[in-house]
Amino acid sequence: MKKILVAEDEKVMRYMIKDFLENYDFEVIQAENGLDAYVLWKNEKPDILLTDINMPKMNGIELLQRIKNTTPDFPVIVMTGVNIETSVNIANNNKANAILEKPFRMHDLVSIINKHLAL
Amino acid sequence: MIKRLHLLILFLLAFSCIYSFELNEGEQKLLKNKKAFKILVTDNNYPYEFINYNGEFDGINIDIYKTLFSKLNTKVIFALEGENVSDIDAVSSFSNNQEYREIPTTTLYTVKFYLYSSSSNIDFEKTYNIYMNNLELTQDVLPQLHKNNQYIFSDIELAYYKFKQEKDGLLLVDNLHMPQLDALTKKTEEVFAVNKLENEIEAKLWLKSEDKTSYMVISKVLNEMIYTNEISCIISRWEKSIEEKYLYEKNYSYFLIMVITFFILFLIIVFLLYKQNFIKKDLIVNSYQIINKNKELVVKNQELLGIISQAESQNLSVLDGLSNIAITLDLKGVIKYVNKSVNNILGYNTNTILGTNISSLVSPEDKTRLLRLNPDPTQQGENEIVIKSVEGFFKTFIFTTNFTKSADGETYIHCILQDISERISLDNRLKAYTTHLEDLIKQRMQVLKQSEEQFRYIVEHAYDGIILMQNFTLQLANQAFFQMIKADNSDLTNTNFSFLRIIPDDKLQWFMDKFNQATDNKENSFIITHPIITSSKEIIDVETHFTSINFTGKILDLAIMHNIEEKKAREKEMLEHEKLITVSSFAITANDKINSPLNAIQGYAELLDLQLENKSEVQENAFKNIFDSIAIINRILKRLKSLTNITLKNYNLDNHKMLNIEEEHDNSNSQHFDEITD
Repeated sequence: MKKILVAEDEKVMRYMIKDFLENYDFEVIQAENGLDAYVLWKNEKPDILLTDINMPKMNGIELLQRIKNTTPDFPVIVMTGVNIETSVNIANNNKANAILEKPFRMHDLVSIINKHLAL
Repeated sequence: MIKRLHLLILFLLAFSCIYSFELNEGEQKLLKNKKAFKILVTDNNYPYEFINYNGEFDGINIDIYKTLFSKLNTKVIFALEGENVSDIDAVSSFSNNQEYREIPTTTLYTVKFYLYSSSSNIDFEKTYNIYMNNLELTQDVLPQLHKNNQYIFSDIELAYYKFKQEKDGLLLVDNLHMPQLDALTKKTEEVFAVNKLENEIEAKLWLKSEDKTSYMVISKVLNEMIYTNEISCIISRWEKSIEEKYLYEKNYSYFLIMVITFFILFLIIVFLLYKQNFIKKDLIVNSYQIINKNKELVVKNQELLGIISQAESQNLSVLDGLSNIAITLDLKGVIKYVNKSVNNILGYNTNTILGTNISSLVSPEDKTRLLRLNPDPTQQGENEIVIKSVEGFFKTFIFTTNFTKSADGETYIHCILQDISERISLDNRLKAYTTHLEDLIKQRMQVLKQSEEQFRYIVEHAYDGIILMQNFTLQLANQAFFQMIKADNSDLTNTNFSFLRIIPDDKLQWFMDKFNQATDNKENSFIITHPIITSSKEIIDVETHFTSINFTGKILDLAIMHNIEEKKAREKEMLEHEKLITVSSFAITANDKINSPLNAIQGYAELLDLQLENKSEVQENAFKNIFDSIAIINRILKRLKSLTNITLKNYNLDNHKMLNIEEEHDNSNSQHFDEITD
């Protein structure tokens, strides 16, 4: 079972993603900020990271940079709600594997995850 | 013969001198005291004497003797009692404590007294301070005086001064002391303006001591002598008798004879010597006199020469000290003298140019001017010459000349040259500076004119209305003002148009209050924002800047009126824009916060849709409406994300506006939105 790390400060969004992905037999671990997410990424060794950009303590871009600096091939999907153009540019520059603009359809998310996990 | 006579005379003279110095001690004393006199009386009575309480003689009335001494101007020696003086007894009783001897006499003597008063009448009932010199006498002299009078006894001088200091006093003087009183008043050179009361009493010569008071005895003879001023005669007579007795003895007479003889012999000797040597002495004396006169003349001549040379050296030092050049020429122009200033001013050495001709220094024309005997000072430039200095510079001088003729008939011209080169240079510089200043003034006038033209252009072409008014009556206004109030220029300039006419009636009082408040506060410049009414009755807001100015002696108000309608419109736009920015910020925030819940709704709807199998038609519609609503919200959020695309559209309530965030062509979605919102 593939393990997905979800970093999202909005609780309702985080639980919805968890519930939906578990329906597709993924193991979902959650973090409510970037710093917790980074700790979980190091300890739990997930297969993919799904992260929001605007988060407390450590934002999604910094989390992306830290992970890509050590593990460039690790797949990271970035979710963003505002300043989409700026966010996309930054995420692309930091080699994000996919960028989803909120609100997005969950079926699209599953397709992208499957694609990057080569399932 | 003559020589023998001389010898004889000299012998006699020496002999007489030796003899004359052989006076004994008594004789010398007599000679020494020859100006001393003795007071004597003709009979054996005493002068003033007093008897004390013990009945003894006690002193004398010294005042009387003082008077005598002052009259005689000499000292008095009293003969001792019992001294054998033929026919005349000496004055006795000058030793104290002698036994009183009664001298029987009943003769009465009349003594005069004078009473002086500073007031015209003497009131005998009144008490006075009475100043006197003889108490015993006076108490009996004027028995009619008040008994309580204060009798102040002192000598005549003190009595007189005390009396003089007091306003209302009396001075009682016996006639014996009158000369002394007269001397005092003369001495002080004062007019002793007092009344004199003359009185006479009979004085007893002596009084027996019954009440133990002092007695006074007046010697008859002395008394008479005093009153008749005979005392000096008596003394003279006595003095003569003394001379006969003591002084006309051989010593004194021989001495006088020898002195006279010596004098005669001396005259004879002098005469003989003079006669014998007269001619020789006369010649020698004449020669000596001539020699002495010559010597004196030589000395005087030398002194004069010294004075002359001193004067010359002083003149030379004065000339050398002059700041001007002093030069003396002969008629040919040869320099005879020049002072040291020529070195300081022109650089020439005085010795080198002495004897040279002036033509080596000046032009021929200037030489002619210098040597002209009758210069015309009124002619311009006639007293100016130019002289070349050692360095080759030409210096201008003004000169004055005068002429002297020497003893040999030579005429000399004395010139004083004053260097005016610096003054000319200064004049030229001053002229140049004046020209410079004139140019500067011209330039500035031109700049001022340009500025005025620029100012006029600015005023005429300004967008703000510019008005010049006096007591709100328009004096001048630019085109912009007329455009602002939408009036014709010609309509207003010919009439006394008041600025207050463009203030709306309902704002006139408010405007005047504002204006007066500012002027009362002595604000020279102030701004009032107020409405004006145009000729087309339109009201527009303006901002007018009032400034009080002094223009050609009048106090005028300069008003610069600025239309603030556009400004207000721009401010409104700015406000709207700020509102939009606020809304945009809100939209971004809302977008960020709505996105995630919306995404959750959509996700859960998808999850339910996935998990529900065999859905009813109602369920199918419900899912469809959920997804459509999410799509509408999503679209709105996307529009809000872009600030540039946000516009406003009218809200159907008053003047409020709302954000135009919907796409007009998306009718289907808006329909769903309306349904949802309903």
